Amino acid sequence: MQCPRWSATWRAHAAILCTAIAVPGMASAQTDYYNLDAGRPLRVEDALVIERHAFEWQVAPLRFSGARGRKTAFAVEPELAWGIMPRMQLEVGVPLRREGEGRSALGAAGVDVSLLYALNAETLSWPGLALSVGAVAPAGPFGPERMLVTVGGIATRTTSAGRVHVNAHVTPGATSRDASDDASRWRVGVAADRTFAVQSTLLGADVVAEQPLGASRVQWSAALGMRRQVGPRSAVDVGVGRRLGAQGEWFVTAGSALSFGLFHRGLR
Amino acid sequence: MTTIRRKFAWGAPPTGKMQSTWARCVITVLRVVAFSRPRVAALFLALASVATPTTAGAQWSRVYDTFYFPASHNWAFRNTYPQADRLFNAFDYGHAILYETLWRNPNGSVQRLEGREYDYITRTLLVRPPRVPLEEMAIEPNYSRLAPEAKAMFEWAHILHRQAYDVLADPGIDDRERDDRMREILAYYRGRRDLRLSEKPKTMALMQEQPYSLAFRRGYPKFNGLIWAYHWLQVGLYEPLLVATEPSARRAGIVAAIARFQQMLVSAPDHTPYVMPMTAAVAPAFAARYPEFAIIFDNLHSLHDVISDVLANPSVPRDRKRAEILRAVSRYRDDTTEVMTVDGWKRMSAMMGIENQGGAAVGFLPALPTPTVARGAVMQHDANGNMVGGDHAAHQASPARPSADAHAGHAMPGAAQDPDTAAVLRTLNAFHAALVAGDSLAALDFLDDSVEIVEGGTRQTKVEYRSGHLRADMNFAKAVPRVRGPVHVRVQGDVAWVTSTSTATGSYNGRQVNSRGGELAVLQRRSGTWRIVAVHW
Repeated sequence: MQCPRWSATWRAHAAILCTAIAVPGMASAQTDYYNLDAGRPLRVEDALVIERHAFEWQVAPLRFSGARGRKTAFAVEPELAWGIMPRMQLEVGVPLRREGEGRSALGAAGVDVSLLYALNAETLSWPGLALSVGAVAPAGPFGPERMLVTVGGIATRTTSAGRVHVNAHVTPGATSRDASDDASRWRVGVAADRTFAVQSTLLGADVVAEQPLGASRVQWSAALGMRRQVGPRSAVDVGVGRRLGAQGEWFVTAGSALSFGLFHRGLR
Repeated sequence: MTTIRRKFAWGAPPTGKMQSTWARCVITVLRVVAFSRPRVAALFLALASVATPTTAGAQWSRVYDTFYFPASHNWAFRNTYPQADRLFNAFDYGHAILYETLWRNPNGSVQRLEGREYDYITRTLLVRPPRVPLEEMAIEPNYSRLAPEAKAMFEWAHILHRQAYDVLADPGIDDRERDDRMREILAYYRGRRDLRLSEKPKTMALMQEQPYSLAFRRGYPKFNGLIWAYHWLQVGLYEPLLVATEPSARRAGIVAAIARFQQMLVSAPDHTPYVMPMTAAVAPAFAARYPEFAIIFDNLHSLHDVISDVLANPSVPRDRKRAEILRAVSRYRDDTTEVMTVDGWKRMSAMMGIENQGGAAVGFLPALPTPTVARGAVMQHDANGNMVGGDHAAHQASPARPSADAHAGHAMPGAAQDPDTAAVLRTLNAFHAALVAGDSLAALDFLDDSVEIVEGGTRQTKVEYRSGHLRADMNFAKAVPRVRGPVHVRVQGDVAWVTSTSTATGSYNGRQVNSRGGELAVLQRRSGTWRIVAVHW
């Protein structure tokens, strides 16, 4: 299989993608569209983790954002998730950002490593609950100056009409000197989604309140998004959102997820 | 803020220590962080409503999913036989909507499942099946939360099903390697000890002789027939994949099996299987070569029926359904409860009659086989698979064990009926099914023009019945599930008379119904077709 020619960073991603497609022994989580990932397309995620032994590769997850009087910024946020233990997934991502003109305007915005641990399976009496801990390490021109650690909790309640998710995250010890586009002192979000099961399509909306490190006021944003299963191993997503405030900042996301398996070493 | 406080006060009161602690935490957070900012407070309120448990914390579950076994044969079945693969996607919907409806809408589930859902599945979904596997949680959100452990068990077994198709469908795998691959995926399946089904065959007592048994097959004959037809195809497709040596022959076998499945649905439930299809009977070559798989799949399908019965039987209170499901699940997972020998399982499968199970999956004749038992018949057997019951062994149909369920324990006509008896029963059952379905034209079609209907102290002709009591009978039949007891059929020449008793339990026009009744029906064969000439209720 031939991989496309591109810059070194892009080649690295493409190589992983090509490997993922070509490796014999791949198999799939069958309904990835139902498992919300943060930012794909909503910022609020659900309390589901990917299956034990599964890998999920966020392929070309694009994000465009802009505001009145500001040039459009472009980012690609590739991420690999692994069902490392029962109810636990490990995610590693290297968000890349392009702002302004020229080749030098493209760079990494840190290295993102996170763990998501589901406490339970949702039942009639208990919502699905999960804990997350993540760290963004300084890397690239757009990354933070020091490591930022974020901890959070996630709850998902399923009903006949759809699902409701609540996320709450806090970044202890962060100061305004650590400001980057995505970092907040705290962030709380609520999302609702409805699944059209036979069409394997999910529509959702979220509202997020956060205290950015670089600002004193609480910032609000809202988004709409859709995820759809297009094959047994692949799902696509699109979303559009807006920060609520005078700046009128907007963002559009589009991407796809590919799931696969590489090996297993027995089960517990 | 007042509004928020009032809303919070309206929430369900905490019911346990864990919940009280949780509620105190939420209140503290609201006080400290949120109340000064109304929008933030609203977010926390949403958090509280989502995360607060609704009942005492008895249903904490830690079950989790495991990925498909990665192998080069993955997706071989989908790529080679996309039509069959898509049908299985549609089957996922049928299984899921069944449980969701039984759990969520117990009072109206008969009409919904036997009418709207059945029609949607057979006329739309199976005609244009989905391209990708469906997310069952999205179809059965309430059942999935009632028993996530059982759902995970089914999904794990369904993954084994799909992987076995992949191994058998992969043209790049030779005969010897195929056995290795099958062993490999079986080992992977066994690795989830908390989800795997037993590889020991279980007796039918688990499925047919429990207090809740038979409620689904009797109350939902069409949907039950659909599920059994699903199971027929799910195990039946292994046979052409295994016995055909050439790709073209395999493809022809798959196409023929799918066509036979669709043929079954033309006149459901008359043509769907009358008893649960057993892998050893429907796919004997597969069962002989891979008995562990065949036993797992039979246990899986049997457990499917058990959960349907638990959900469908009103004698199991709603707050006991989860416990009964988990109890049944554990019995199908252990290697000790109601176990029979492998030879006994094969013998039992054969004695149940392949013609009653939908027929063989390969080498069948164009016409569907004629069942020799009544639909949903119960046949008892011992641990060696021998039918029990003395001289009437083949006819014995009643659960022998005492039952706490008023609906259980009624005998049904057993095995080895002659074709006339079976045809008479089919006609009468179809008449009752038409009444339940509210299909007046179909119901009248089974009545001879000379029919006399004796009911409530009056005698009616067909014309009088059509304009008179038929509507009320259909409404009652739809509203109040009726469990039929022993049915006795006598045939002399072209005349047959059928007697039966039944119990009706439910509510009708706002009043509770719990009555026992009897029926005498007389049928006459006219131009080769049995028609009802007299009914006495």
